[in-house]
Amino acid sequence: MANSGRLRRSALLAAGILLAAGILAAVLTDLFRKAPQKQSVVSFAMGSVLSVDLYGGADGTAEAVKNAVAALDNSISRTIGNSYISRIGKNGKCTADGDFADNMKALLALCEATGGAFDVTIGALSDLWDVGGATPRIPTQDEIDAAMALTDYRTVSLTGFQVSVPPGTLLDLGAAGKGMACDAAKRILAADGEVRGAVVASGGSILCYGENPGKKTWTVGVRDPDGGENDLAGVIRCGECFISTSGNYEKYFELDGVRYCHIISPFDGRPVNNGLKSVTVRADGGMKSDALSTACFVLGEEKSLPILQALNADAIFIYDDNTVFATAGIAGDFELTNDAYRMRGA
Amino acid sequence: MKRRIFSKTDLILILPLLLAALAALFFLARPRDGARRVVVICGGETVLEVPLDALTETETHTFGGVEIELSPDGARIVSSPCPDQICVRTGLLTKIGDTAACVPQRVAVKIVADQNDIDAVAY
Repeated sequence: MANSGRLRRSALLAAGILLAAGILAAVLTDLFRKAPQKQSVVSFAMGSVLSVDLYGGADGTAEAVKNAVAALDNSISRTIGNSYISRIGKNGKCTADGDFADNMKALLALCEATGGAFDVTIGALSDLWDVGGATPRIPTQDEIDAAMALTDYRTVSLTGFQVSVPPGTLLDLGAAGKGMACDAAKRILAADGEVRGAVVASGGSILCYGENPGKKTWTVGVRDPDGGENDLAGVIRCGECFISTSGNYEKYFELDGVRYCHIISPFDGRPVNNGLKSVTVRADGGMKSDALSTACFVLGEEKSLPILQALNADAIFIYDDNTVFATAGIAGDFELTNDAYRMRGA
Repeated sequence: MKRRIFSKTDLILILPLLLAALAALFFLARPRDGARRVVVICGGETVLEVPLDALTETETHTFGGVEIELSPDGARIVSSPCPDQICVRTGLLTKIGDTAACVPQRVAVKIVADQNDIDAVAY
């Protein structure tokens, strides 16, 4: 009896000590776990806010992302007088650098892949309507016809580093610039080599890079087209990817109850008005996601689907009647969080 | 005589261990840093960072001509000389990640925390 009591006591003591040691070990692990250092930078570029949050990586990498995006802005902005785009606007041609030439080549390929729904020569039409500018107005059909005659990506010539356009044609990279900023950011993050995860937001174009420390996925909100600046229609849970949205709510003017949005169709020279409120595209490149969101908004769902498939991208279409359609590749990652919307067929 | 499982000496050893284990469990289960902070960026610089919990009454700050109101409820841009007034229309920022930006004046107000549910918003 005495022996079994002693044995029981020893076992209990041992269990107690083991438990306490386990808990102590957990506390010590928690205390000394090396959480990756977070760097955050917020600045202004591409006519919008640039926000960089990154985990791990060398000191100054977030700052390097900011500088790379600023450099890109300086080469492609229409509002910076000495940018390559402005110089091409003034002189019809410009000898640029290798990065610009590479970007231009990729942009023209996207114009081609979208059948011209995304068109880098949309500048004359954007200026004519001036949606979001100081003097938005409805132009005459003659004016629209004249601007459309200057809109055709196939007239852009790229020879080595020299880019030229016909007289009067204006390049406007507004539909791809923020996504290109995400591409530039990714190159800096990859070059660092030690960045574990990062989120870069150039306006509403997003790069999710690497892994989200402590979580399985990144969570990217999709803006509620009818809500305020910070209201969401739903969320996308994703790994490394690029996400961009084009919608009729960001810049527009209204006249006689008609909304004229800032996305002009290169096919009829008029603001798109096709029953869509927004299109969000997820792709493996920033320029691609941004240009595709505009192209899909112009084309509508049916014509967009084969293009999305060919370019290995997915999209979420939000309609005027608040129905939502997500392509098969993203449907499982997308969740509506706003009762005003419903998935089509659900 | 009925013998107890633990003697007094055992209890002197066990009780502190038990208490330490309990304290450790509470430590492990502590709420992680999700406290909301208001950050104001002017140009490319952070010019103000205030934990929302630290605010007891409404206070107003002006950066780059943009007037910002902070209160225990959140933050908002109340006036700006910019033409489009998108920043003012954005209204009260309360949730982590909420942002109001005045791009022409290069001023942004953001609610941040070390942990957030939404990493970014596509628009």
